[in-house]
Amino acid sequence: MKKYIILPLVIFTLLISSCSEDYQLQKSVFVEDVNNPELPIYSEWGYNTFGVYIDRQPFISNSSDLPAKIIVNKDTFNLVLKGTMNNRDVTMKFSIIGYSPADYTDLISLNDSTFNLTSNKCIVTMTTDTIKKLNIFEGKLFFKRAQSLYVDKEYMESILSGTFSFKTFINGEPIAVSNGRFDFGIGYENFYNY
Amino acid sequence: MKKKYLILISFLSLLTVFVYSQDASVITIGFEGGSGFITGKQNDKWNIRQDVATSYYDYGYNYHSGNNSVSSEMNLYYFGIKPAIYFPKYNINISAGLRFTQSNCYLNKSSNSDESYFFLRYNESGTNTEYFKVKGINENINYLGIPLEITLTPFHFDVVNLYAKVGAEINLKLNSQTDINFSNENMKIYKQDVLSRVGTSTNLIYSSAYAAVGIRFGRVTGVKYNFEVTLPARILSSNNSSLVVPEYYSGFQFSVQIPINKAKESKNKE
Repeated sequence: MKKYIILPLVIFTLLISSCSEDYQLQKSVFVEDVNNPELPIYSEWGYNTFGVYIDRQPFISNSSDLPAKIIVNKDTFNLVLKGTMNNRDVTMKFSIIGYSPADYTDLISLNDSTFNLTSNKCIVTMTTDTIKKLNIFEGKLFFKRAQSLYVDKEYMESILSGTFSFKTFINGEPIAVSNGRFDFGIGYENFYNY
Repeated sequence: MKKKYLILISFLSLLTVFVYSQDASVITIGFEGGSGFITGKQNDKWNIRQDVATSYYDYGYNYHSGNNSVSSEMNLYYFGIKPAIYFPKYNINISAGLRFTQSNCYLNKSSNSDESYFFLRYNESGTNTEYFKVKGINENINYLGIPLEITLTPFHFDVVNLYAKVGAEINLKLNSQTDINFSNENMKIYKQDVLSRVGTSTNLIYSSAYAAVGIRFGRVTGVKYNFEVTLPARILSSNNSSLVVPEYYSGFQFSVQIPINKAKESKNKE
């Protein structure tokens, strides 16, 4: 009888301990940038944060939502940022046509890569209540650094860090999206290829 | 740096001149022990992944908490022998001696859990980055030094007296040891490599200038028991720890003074 009680307990304990190890890297570590209030600092630690000013409003990651997902669909790479702006859920998606990494280990190829967001191979959409495809007339997305992260000599995830800024129209009004920065750990839980 | 040591040497010279120009009334041998708490900030040379902000509400009133932070701590423990000369004419006591000091520094995760760890970046080469999971880092440094102190007892009572003290000390490093407590025991083999990459060498000299207030129990010519609190003091030397950049020092001290000589002047006073 004791065996039937102890075995599930051991399995449960092992599961808990393995989950907590991963959780440390998945958590968002928000360190405010004193020079750009409300935004996180630019970092390359895999802090799982992003932030950008949309005109004066900060659109930033929060601790409850997964801040980034990479979805590769056929020949298109999609970087989806989910966060909060003015107490509302907002999603911003960068789609790059013609780039399709098979797995998150392949994201290293993005190291020091810049994408011109006015190109017809780049599409940016923003979702508040409705999905809007943005007509960008100036801007770029820069993957400043891509790293393969090893913890205690074991491969864990890829870290993508970079900056972005662009100018577009929202409801017919020109809007500047400025000082954008991101730092994500990309692994099994936020990389999809289907 | 030279200026600080010049101040210390000048202080020592002045004391010597003063001692030789006076008729000492009571010479005591003292034994002291105490501890100090040093405030400072974490040394940047350790690349630690952490949340340096404590807590924060964003524009959307989402709460960001800094429960992943790493805290640093530095404590001093010391004991020593300290001969002193008391001058009743001026109500001052001058002492100098030999002091053994141990400095303990820690870097730990703020969380109380025994299993908690933080990430220490070990290597960055090209697009590869390596972290180690570390429970804590500690550093012990032993010093042998000379304290020089002037104690003023402004009002004289028979058995219980209050006093104020100013002092300075200069210490020479005897040895030091830095240890890393890895979360994964198998990573211990990389300890020396990590330490040499970070660079844990520290200053050979540790010096500080301080002031204290205390209470003394015992008659002038008898055994005296002193308890004192060190007021926030400045550390004069730099690079005294590879983990912490010390800023201010405070603490407490207990000491016993045993008279070994009773001059006539003092006896007459009694």
